[in-house]
Order: sequence, then structure tokens, then C-alpha cells
Amino acid sequence: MSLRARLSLAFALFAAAPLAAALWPVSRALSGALEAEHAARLDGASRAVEGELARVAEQAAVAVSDLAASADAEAFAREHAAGAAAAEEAGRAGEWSAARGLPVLAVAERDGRVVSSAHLPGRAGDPDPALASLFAAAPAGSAVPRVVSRAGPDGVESVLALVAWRDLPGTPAPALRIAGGIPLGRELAARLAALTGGAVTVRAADGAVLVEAQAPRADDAGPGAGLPFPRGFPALLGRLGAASRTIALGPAEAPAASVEVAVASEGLARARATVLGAFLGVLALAAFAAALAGRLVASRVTRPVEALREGAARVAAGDLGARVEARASGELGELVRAFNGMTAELQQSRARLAHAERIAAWREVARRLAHEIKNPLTPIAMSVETLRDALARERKDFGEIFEESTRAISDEVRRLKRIVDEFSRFARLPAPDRAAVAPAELVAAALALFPAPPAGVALRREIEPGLPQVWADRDQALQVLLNLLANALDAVAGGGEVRVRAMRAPDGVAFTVSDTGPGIPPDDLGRVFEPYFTTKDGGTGLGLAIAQRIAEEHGGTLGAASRPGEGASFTLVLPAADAAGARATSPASP
Amino acid sequence: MSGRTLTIVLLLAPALASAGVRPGYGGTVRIGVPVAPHLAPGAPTAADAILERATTLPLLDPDAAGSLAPGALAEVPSPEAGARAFRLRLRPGLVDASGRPLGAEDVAARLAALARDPTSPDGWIALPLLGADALAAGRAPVLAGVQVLSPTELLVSLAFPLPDFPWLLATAPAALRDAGPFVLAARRPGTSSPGDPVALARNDRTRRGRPFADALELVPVDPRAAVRLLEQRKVDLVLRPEATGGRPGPALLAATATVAAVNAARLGAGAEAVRRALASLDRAELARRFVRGPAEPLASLAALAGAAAPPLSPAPGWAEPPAPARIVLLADSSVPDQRALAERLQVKLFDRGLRAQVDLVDAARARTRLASGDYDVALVAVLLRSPRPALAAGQLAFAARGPDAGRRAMAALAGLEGERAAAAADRLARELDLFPLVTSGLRASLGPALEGFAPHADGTFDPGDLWLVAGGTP
Repeated sequence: MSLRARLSLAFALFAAAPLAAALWPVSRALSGALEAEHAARLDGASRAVEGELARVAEQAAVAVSDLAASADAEAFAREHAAGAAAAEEAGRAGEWSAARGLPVLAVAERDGRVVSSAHLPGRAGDPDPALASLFAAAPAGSAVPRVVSRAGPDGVESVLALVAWRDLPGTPAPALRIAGGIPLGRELAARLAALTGGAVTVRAADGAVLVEAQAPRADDAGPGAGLPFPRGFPALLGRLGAASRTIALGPAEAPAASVEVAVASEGLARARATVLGAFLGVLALAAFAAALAGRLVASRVTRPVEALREGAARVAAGDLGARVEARASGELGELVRAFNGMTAELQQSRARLAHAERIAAWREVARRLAHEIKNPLTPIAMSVETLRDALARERKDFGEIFEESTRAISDEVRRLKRIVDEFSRFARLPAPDRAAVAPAELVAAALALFPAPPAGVALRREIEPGLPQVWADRDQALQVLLNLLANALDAVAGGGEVRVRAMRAPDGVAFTVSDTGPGIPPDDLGRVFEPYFTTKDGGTGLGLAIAQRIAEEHGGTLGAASRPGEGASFTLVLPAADAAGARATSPASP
Repeated sequence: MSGRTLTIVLLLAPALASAGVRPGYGGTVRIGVPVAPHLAPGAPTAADAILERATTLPLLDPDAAGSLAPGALAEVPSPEAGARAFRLRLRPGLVDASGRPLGAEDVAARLAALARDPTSPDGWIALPLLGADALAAGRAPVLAGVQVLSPTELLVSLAFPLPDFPWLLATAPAALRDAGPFVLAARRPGTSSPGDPVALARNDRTRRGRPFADALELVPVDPRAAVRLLEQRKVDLVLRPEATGGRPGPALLAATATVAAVNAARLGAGAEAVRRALASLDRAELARRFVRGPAEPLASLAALAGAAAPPLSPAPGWAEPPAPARIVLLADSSVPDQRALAERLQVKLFDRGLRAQVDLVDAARARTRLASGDYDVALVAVLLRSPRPALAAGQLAFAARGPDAGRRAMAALAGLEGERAAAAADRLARELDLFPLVTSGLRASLGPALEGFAPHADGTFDPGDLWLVAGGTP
């Protein structure tokens, strides 16, 4: 990670940390306030349900009392005592039910045997345990919760009702009782749910759901509505306290049923989600702004450092003229100035070193020249002395002596000339004039100069098909290949094989010239490219040095490999025309 | 005065003289009924039966003693060929209300019409006729079992021996149309609705001559209105389940019989549990508490009057059967008390752990669903047309299970009576998966001016016999 990135991250963390630390207490406080609000709503809803149930119970009790005291009921009791037809009696409760607003209504004997039932007409004639227990346990005239069976659209079903009972008039004692009530069915449950604005679930004593209802949802209302939070975000924050409140109906020790009241908390939960979401948004914005500011500040700090790093990289690459131009103050400014001073000093030292190296080179050249020239001069001087002596003595074989001496002088002069030419070429090797050259054509041109290899020597070529063109000075490349070929042929002068191969290499083409000669001793293998190193009589030791220099100036390489007794191979690698051309034409290329 | 009237007057003279009352002509007899007649094809109601009896001439007349007397036929036909054939001879000189002569061709046409429509509630009457099934299926153009021998004689061949066949001829659907003591008064189109009273005018051309009353009206009345109307002499006879004041008349018990049909094909393994619950029903309790008016448990498909109807016992070897998830209990809302019966069945099924949903639908829909098998248990009620066990069982089986079952029931109970008929009916009920429940009728409440109300053995009465003291003039 870069220094700039680290500094940006540090700034962001520095800005976000206080906000993040504040998030937890803020969330706790907010949740606490909203839970209190939710609990207050639940309390209010529970009170409303209890109040409505009490009102319904009172309504049922009054309706039953009114019916028991009515003339219809009195006539019914009288007809019953007189032995009225059971089938006529069976339908009477159904006639009263709607008129009296008592969906649950039954006339029964004192032991609970049904005479007429509106809510379960088919029960007539049977004892009804629910009625028997009602008569036994509940006082007359007050409505109590009871689970009763009634005929519903899908068959007989259980329903919770608030039921009251009264005696019907009779002499000498009441023989019949009337029980009526209002069921806590879907309609009433829906009304209770609407009253609370939440959900109401009525459960039997065993926990079975008798009926449940939900107030119409107001998804578009309430705080936080419409904010672009995912649906699961409020739920992710957890519930706001208890989800519901349970109201037990009936005796506390054995409730007949219970009503669960649940108030919708989505609005509050969304409000909490809104606040916390906004807080998180601010946190994210602050962290981003801090990171941005940190990046700006860091860039002022790191720019000289970046320049120093780049300058150091250039120096490492050999560019001692590299200078850091960044403006900086303080320690960084001193560092920049020290770097620039150091590179300037290095540049001067390099110049001095080069000058010293040049002097040393010239000395070496002078020594080599003197050595090389000195050797031919001795035979020349001796030949001249021999001629002068033979002339002075008027020797009869002067002609022969003349002929021999002048030939010797001529040979040595040619040798001197060749030495001078070699040195001259090494010193004045021109810059390569590169162009795209086909490898096959280069190899063919080199081999054309050796149309007839010496006896016992086989000269073979292997050109890989589809080779790219190389980017090279054709004459210089040809000079290298000729030098390598001449050396190889010298190595197999007694017989053998010389093989010239051109093949694909990474980023270029490799030309390998190998022979089956005696090979190069390991001690010499590392020195074959040194100037003036030679193992051949009369060699200047400059051929392979020139060849390697040509290879390097082309951006290529020249290497040697050999094992004693197994011959030697020299490999010239030249860059392909495409890659080398692209580098040469690229503005970024040095 | 016609000969018929003279005969009646002579027969009743001692009693009337002792009462100081003489039969008189004239006036309009108004009969209060639970619902107005349909005046259209459909399941007949009590009002339809009265209307039919008033406007048709029965071939044979069942009398109060339980015997058949000649009606349009000159004599009660005797069985031939082992009760497989009956020779019918009509009285000469029969005409309908318009004066058109009536003869053997009319009887044959009526029987063919009944055979041609096996979906009609009265289609059961043609079941024993030879070739009736081929005619109904469109395989034969004419009814092979009916041969017109002369204008007043025809030969009826049956598909199976049925000594009870003359009782079929005594039913109102087999009677000659528009030849009864009354005819429907002309109505202007669009001037009446289904609940309106139905007015009939006297038919002087009927076989027995002019009826006592000049007109007859069938008025739908509810129980409380009936009491008031009787007191105010605005109706002369009320036929309703409950007593409605006035002078109590005899109950018309042979009216409606109700059976429960179990659809075993749909219930599958659960059918056993349903059968067990139905078999445990206390039919006496059912008749007493859930059917208004005179009602009795239906002892068997033979509908034998007065027969004991103990709770049905489960078949031996019944194990505790699996209960179906939910049962659809089909009932016809147009039949009185069927809702109450269905609700009772619902409760008793519930007590046995079976959840039943009551589907109360109109008569047409009930018939369609019954025919298509769209039910688990169906209540089937029919207005019984004959007191004979074979015919009652045939009519019930036809209504509940279709023509083949009806034919099979008639053949199984042909000629049987008493305990043998009851035993055969029990076997038949098990085979057809039918559970006889109750039979119910109507009570007659007579106004002070009405005389001549004398129900026959089949539960009907001849409206032509009704007369009003002093012609109905107060």
C-alpha cells in the first residue's frame, strides 16, 4: 500500500472513529425512546380492546335480559309447558336471533339440554355441556366469555362469545333458560383490530387460534415512509420490545380464552431505521471527505518523496543526470537537495572515472600497438640489414637474398597493415543503420561467402519457417555471422561439421553457429569476448569483441557455450523488426 | 244435478240432515298452501299435487279404505301374463274441459311422454313399461309396451312383473290432463308472479259432473296469516305443517319422504364413517324435533305407514373407519325443513368427528348436483305419489339414484307388503347406500263453511268434493 493510500486511510479512520463510537449510544437511546412509545401504544390498544369487550358483554347481557322479559319469551315458556311441538320450538331461537342482535342464542332446559338454538340449530334436543357449565358457573345476567360451537359456512366451528343467561318465566319454577351472546368472530375481531390499528388474535384456552384480524395496513404513512431502505433493514435492527399484549378472558385461574393484541411497530421501526440510516450515511460521508482531504494533504507530502523515488530509479538505471525538481521544504527539502547534490557528485565522479578509463585504454592500446608493431619491425630490420650486408659484400646470391628479404619485408608490412586495420575498425565501428532484414536472407548471404568448405567439413543450415524479420544493420550483422563462421571453420579444419541455425527466440531471432571441433577450454570460455584475447596465432583478439559490441549496439546478445571435446556454439540474438521498430518509434522509449 | 252429485247427496244425506246442513253448489273455495304451485316442470310440492288433482282425471281413484276404484278407466285392470301385462279399458264419452273426446290414444300419449323424459321428477312412473328405457335413450321411436287396441282399450306390457301397476295408474302424473273438476282460469300474460294465488274455474265436463264449488283458489299463506284468514273466512282450508286454527282436519301423512344418499364414490374409504354416523341417527327424534307438522320416521324405502323405525344398526364387522376431511352435505332449499334436517345431520356428524358443510341450493341445482355426483351426502325428498311399497321405493330410488335404481327397486319389491316389503326395502337401501330418514305431511285446518274434505289413501283429496255451506255466503 502506498504512503498516500495509507495517509488517506488514516485520515478516514480518524474522522469516522468518533462518529462510529457515537453510533451505539445513539442507537440505544433511540431504541429506548421508541420502545417506550411502542409500549404506550400497546397499553392504549389493550385498554381499547378491554373496553370494547366490556361494552359488547354489557350489550349481550342487556339483550338477553330484555329477551327473557319479553312477551315472546313468556309465550314460548307457556307453550313449552303446555307441550308445544318440539319442531315448532326448535326454530324459535333463530327467529329471535337477528331481531335481538344475538348471533349466539339458545333456549335450554336447566340442565343444558337445548330446546332451540340459533347458532347451532341441529343441536336441539341434545344436552350442551357449554350451556350447562355456563348455567352452573356464571351468574344470571352477566356476560362471560365462553367457547361455543356454531354452524359456520364450512361446518361446525368453535367461536368465542360473550354469553349471558336468564331464566324464562315459568310456574311454579322456571323450566327454561335463555342464553345469548355476541361471538368474537371475524367481524368483531376486525372491529377490534381497526380500533387498535394493529392485529387481534383470539385463542382458546388450549392456545388454538379461534379468529384473527389485522387492521388495514398503511404502508405509505408514517415516518420514514418512502425512504430507500431495503425492506429487511428495519427488521435487521431488531424488534421494538414485546410484539403483543395478551388479555385473559374469564376467571384468572382458568381463562376461557385470551385475546392477543399486537400493535404495528413498522412505523416506529422505520423511524429508527431512518435515524440510524442517516447517521450511517453521515458517517460514510465524513469518512469519504476525510479520505479525500487526507489524499490532498498526503499528495503534498508524498510528491517530493515520489520524485525522489523516481530519481533514484533513474540513477539506478544509469542516468546520473537525473534531478528532483519537486518543491519541498523542511526535511524533505533538504533530502531533495542532498539527492540532487549526490547525483551531481556521482556524475562528476563518473566523468572522472571515464577519463581515467580512457587514458588507461589508450595506454593499453599503445602497449598493444607497440607490441604488435614491434614484432614485424624486427624481421623488417633484419631483412634490411641482410640486404645491405649482401650488397656491401657483393654477394653472388644477392638476387636470392633480395628476393627473400623483400618478400619477408612485404609480408611483415601486410601484417602491420592488417593490425592497423583491425584496430582502426575496432575504434571506429560506425553506428548501426538498422532496417528489417529477413533471417534466412542473412544466413544465405553469410554462407554464400563459403561456397566450398574445406575438405572433410560439412556445412549445414537450419532455418525455422515463419521467422520474423530482424531489426539490424545488415552489413554489421553479416560481419558477426562471418566472424562466427570463420571461427567455426577454423575449429574443424581437420574435418567435422558446422551448423548454422536460425530459430525463434523471445522478442527476436537466435542465430546459432556451432561446430564439432575440440571446443573451448572452460578457463578460456569466459574470456573469449575480451578484446585482444586470442588463442590463434596471428589473431588480434578483436573479432569476437567487435561481434559482441555489434550485438549489444543492436539491442541483442552474443553468447558462447562449449564443452571440451564436444565443440562450441555461439548464439547471436537480434530483436525482431516489429518489437524493435515499435520501441524505436515509441515516444516513451529512451 | 248430475248422477254423481245425487249419489253423494244420497250417501251423505243422513249425516247432513242430522247436522242440519245440505251440500250446496256455488262459491269459491280458497285453499291456503305453504307455497304457490310452480305451474312449471319441477319437483312437485303439496300445492302442485292439489293443482294436479284438481285439473286432471285419474285413471283410477284410491279411496279412503285403501282400495282402487275406477276413475277414467271403466274397471280396475287385472294382471295378465304373470302381472307383466294389463288391459286398460276407458269409460266411453270422456271429454276434456274444451269438449275434446279423450280415449286410449291420450292415455298412451301420456305414458309415452312420461317415458320420454327420464329426468322429469315424474319419470319414475314409466319405468316398468316395456321399452321405456329404449324410448328414453332414443333407441326406439315409440313406446313398445303400450298398444292401443281400440279408441277405449289399450294393452300395457311391462318389463318385469309388477302387480302394483294399477296403483301407478292412480297417480296424478298418469291422469288425463285438463279433465279434472277444475281448469286453470285464463290469465293475462305478465299479470302474475310465481307467488300469486292460482285461480281455477269449475269444469262441468268432468266425468263426475259439475263440482260443488264454482271456483278454486290456491293461496300461499304463512302460519300467522293463515290463522287470521281462517277466522276472517278469507280461506276455507289451510294445508300447512302446523295447525293454524279452525277445525282440525285429518293429517295428510303420505306426503314427503326424505332419504340421505351417500356418495361412496367420492367419499372413498371415508364413506364407512359417514354411514356409521347416519346409521346412528335417532329418526324419531329427527321427525319430532326437526320436521314441522305431522312427521314420522321413515322406516324404510317402502314407506310403510306406521312401521317402527328403530335406529339403523351398523353392518356387522364394521371397524373404526377413517374419517373424511370434510363432507359436503347437499340439501334442497325449496323443500320445507330440509335445512333443519341438514343442520341436524351436520351436528350429529360433528359429534362423530366429521366436519360437514351444508350446501343449501335451489331445487334445480340440487337435482343437477345429485345427478352429477357433486356431493358427499345428499338429502333427497320426494312427494310420494303412491302408498304401495314397490312404487314408493321405486320413486325414492329413482329420485336418488336414477332410472336403473328405480326400476330395480320396483322389481325387488313388486307385490310385496308388510314385513316382507320392509325387509326387501332394507336390503335395497344398503345396496343403494340410501338412509331413510323421515316422512312428513301437512295438517288440514278447515274453516267453518267448508265441507266434503275427505283424503284418499294416497294422501290426496278430490277438490271437486269440497263444498261450502250455503255456497259460501255468510
